[in-house]
Amino acid sequence: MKSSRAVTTPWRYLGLAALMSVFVFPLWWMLSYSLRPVGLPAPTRLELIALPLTLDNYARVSQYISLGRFFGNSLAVAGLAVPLTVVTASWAGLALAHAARAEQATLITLSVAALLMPASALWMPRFILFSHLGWLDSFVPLVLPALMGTSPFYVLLFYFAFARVPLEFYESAQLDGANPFQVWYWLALPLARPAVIAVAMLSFAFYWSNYADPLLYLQTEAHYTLPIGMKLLEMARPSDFPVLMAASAIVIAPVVFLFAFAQRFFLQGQISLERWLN
Amino acid sequence: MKLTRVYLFNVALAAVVIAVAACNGAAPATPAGVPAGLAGEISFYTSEGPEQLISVKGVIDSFQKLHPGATIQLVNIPDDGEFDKKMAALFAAGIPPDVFTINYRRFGPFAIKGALQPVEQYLANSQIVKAGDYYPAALDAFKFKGRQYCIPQNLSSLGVYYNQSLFEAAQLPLPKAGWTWDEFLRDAKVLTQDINGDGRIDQYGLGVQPSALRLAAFIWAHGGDIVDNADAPTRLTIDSGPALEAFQWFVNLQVKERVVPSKADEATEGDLSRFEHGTLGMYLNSRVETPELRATIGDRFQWDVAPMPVDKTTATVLHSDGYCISSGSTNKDLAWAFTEFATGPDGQKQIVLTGRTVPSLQAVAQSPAFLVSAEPPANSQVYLDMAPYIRRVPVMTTWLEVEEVLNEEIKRAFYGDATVEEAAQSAVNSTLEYFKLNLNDLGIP
Repeated sequence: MKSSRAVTTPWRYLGLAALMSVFVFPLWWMLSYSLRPVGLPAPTRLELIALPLTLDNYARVSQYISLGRFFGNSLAVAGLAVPLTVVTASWAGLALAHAARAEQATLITLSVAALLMPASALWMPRFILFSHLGWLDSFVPLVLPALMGTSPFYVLLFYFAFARVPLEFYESAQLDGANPFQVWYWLALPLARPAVIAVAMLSFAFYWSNYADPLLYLQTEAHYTLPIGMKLLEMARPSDFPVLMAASAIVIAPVVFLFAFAQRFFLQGQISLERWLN
Repeated sequence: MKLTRVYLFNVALAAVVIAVAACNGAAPATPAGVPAGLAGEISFYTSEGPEQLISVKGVIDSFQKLHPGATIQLVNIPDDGEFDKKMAALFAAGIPPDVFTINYRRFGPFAIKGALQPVEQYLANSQIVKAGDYYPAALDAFKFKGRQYCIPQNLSSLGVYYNQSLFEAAQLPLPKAGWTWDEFLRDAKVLTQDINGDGRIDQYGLGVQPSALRLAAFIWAHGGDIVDNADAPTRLTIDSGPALEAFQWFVNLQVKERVVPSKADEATEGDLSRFEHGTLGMYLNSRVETPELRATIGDRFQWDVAPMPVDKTTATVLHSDGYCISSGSTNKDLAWAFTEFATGPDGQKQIVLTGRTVPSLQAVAQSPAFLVSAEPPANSQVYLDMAPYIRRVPVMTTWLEVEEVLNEEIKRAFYGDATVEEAAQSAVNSTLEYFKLNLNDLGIP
């Protein structure tokens, strides 16, 4: 038994490494192209790295767009919207978990139906609404979906997380005198920590990369967010790929770091992976 | 008919604008009691790259200096591909831009829905410009159902950017007016080379987008036409006669002669990028690309522009955008004042310095500001020489939908995924509905 394990383990590592390289390759290509010397002709075959490496492209991004300002704007929008999303989606999920069977079925059906609605169908009505309210060219329309939990998907994620715990658990706390908010904050959220992290990560990725809404609602360049800034950069330098890749690396860096940091919270399969490898 | 994204979007636009117009039926077309002098604030929407925006801001500043009571709020739509979406949203919400720039291929739907203010009266009464000052090809492109809806700023047309250094290195005669399709093909073949001997083509002779706006020039030059009637078209005519022959010749550039990058090579590196890196002999595009080429190529190699090659006749495609005033504007006098300034001698003299436009005002186009430049192309005169031969795609309310279908089919044939006959037939059949819709809109049974 042990000897056969010793033979197959290196192959398992190799297999995993091969699989990983397929997924990592686009990120690697983006990074290596962003460090490419300016003016080098485009590669005619697969080129993993081009020497000498240079950080010039990262500096050049700011020449064409106000990167700092757009970064700050994106951070402000995400910073407001993500906590709001987690709070409202978890409230809705907890309420759904406590609802009677019939109500639950109706609400879940409605949520799935809402998920099927194409985003483009909402643009016109929302634009007209915000224009009448005078909220165009501000961050309000960008953050407002967070008041509804951003997406029924997050509500359902929380519902599934909360529903795993028997309801008696919450009821016993209420019998001890806890009000609903205390039940939510001290009991439900800690139990559903993976769901909290997952919703936070996914909603951050959504607000960080949201292109359609800022394009529609924002008018002044000073208010633009990073995705619009990227489009401006592409309009300024359409075939200058090193600069475009440098800007892309800057834009996705926060998302990549956050996902890497949050891995350990919701990858329970990690334990079994370690066992499989050893 | 194909439920393309553009078509669905136009249906949505129609529905909402009609609904909103019905609700706002009481809104006056012109302000009742407000003396619309040259004061007030208007909004101006355009879609320009960051460098062009600087000269647009310059025009606005000059105008505001001349009229101290006036303020122009400039809004730049960062993505010209999303232009329709943003415009539709503004019109539907009842806050249309007072002035905006639009391409002549796109303004049809706005005109038919009554969203645009006809300007022929303003033009006739203007002290600054007259209709005769503009190139007729550009001015006529913005006429619809007999009314003048916008003032063009541009008489750009399809031309051949060529890498002069590559031509000289290959000892080919430089392209000049009157050069034929055979010479064009010969040059492209000579310039298509495998430089490092690894069996793969590194340098292509020609880069051209397989789209309706390119193919049209070839069809016209071969004596055919893309529709049966320019004013009231009922169908595409690319499936027979000289139009089909030209389509086949165009497709052969990739499929048979291989002087244009294959689908895989095109995906690896686009034509613009190849031309800028000096690995493309000729690049078909309009004047709009000139500022980008100037900025990126610098002095790495010599390049210039040549007219489209000639076959049975001389022809090229119009590329033009114009300034339009929306009918819902609350300060039309100021909107017109800004429009006539921007498209008049003062405005065009500033914009021409960016190199992006071929001025629609004959006087400015024929001046050294356009013709003489320290930067390439040296041969800007080419655009003026082609002026009598510029033709436009039909002005229709549904042209963009037709173009979308046509582009798909041309691309399929170009990369060998379908024969030319199949693609032409499919394009003709899929677009019949759009032509019917246009005729309805024009009021022709």
